[in-house]
Amino acid sequence: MQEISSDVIRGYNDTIILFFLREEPSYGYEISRNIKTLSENKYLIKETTLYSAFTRLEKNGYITSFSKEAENGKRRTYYQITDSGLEYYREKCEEWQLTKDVIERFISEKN
Amino acid sequence: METIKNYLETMFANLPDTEETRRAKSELLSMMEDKYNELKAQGMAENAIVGTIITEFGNIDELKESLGLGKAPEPVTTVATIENITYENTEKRMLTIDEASDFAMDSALCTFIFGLGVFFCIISPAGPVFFSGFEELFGSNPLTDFISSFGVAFLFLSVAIGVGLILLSGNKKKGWEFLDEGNCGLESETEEFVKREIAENNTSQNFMFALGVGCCICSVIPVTVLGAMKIAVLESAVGPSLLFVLVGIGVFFILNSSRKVSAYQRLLSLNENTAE
Repeated sequence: MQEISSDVIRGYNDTIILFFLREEPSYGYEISRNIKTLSENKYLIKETTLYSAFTRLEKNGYITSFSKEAENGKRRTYYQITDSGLEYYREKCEEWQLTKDVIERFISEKN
Repeated sequence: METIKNYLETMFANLPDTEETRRAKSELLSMMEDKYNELKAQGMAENAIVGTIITEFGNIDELKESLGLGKAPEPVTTVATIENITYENTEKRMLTIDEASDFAMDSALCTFIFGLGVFFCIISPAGPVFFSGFEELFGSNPLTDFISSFGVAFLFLSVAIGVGLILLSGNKKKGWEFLDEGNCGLESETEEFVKREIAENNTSQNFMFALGVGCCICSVIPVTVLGAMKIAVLESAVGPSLLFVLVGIGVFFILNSSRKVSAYQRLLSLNENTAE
């Protein structure tokens, strides 16, 4: 099966993460697992990619982090979306619509 | 789980121990731990779990970049590439404009001294010829013998000076031997400079060369003209000795005409070799 290219998806990792954080604060592995589930195993985000995205998003003020004890007693860092993060997410969605629209014009089933 | 911890430690081994990297490490470990527990719960074999986690870990360089360490290792790689390039270049030593200009000056001076040496060697017979003319004129007597000994002295002295200068001229070439060893080239600016210099010196080169050839051709004129005048002192002494002097001057000019241009062409040829 054709694997997804990390180069192509790079610009949208932030969007994917923010998509989940819009609903509720979450932590690294949960997001990673959700991505896998929602993409039906087609996209497995690498740990380093995910953590890099967290630090970038936090630096840009799109998310904040806090430490919380999970049900099993394990301490985890949770990430929460900010208002500017929500706005950024919407912008990225619009950008994707445009990108998709443009790229699709150049995708042909015929050889 | 120990294998994974060790793997993470190894990945972080080259990173500076800052708060940010420590946080990154603990976050990554937390994620990997979660994944480990889940896969374990699914009944996956230990080896398979470790394999999965490591393949899905990703790339430490990506992490460095996001931790702002990208800048630190990046110049290192840039330096490394620069070093590689200069390494190739030091194999091919690149000459600067100053060096090219110095080389041209040195070679020009060297040619000048060499030319002067040749000049003295060529004119050396003029001495005996000139002074023996007196002997022919006044017959052999102690005075003309004495005078003609000047001629011989002049011959030896002139040859001595000439040879001395020729030997000395080689001295100026010292310090530039590395050009002969190959592995040299010109920087692109230097190449431009050299080409410009060649163009500028072309006219004076042609002029000097023509002057030299002219002198050589004209060297026979005094002999024929003065010979035709039938004045003994001019015919037997001045005329023939002038021949030597004119040839000497001519050869001097011919040798010197290309002193700078040939040096510059020599430099250009270094780059042609480099291009091969």
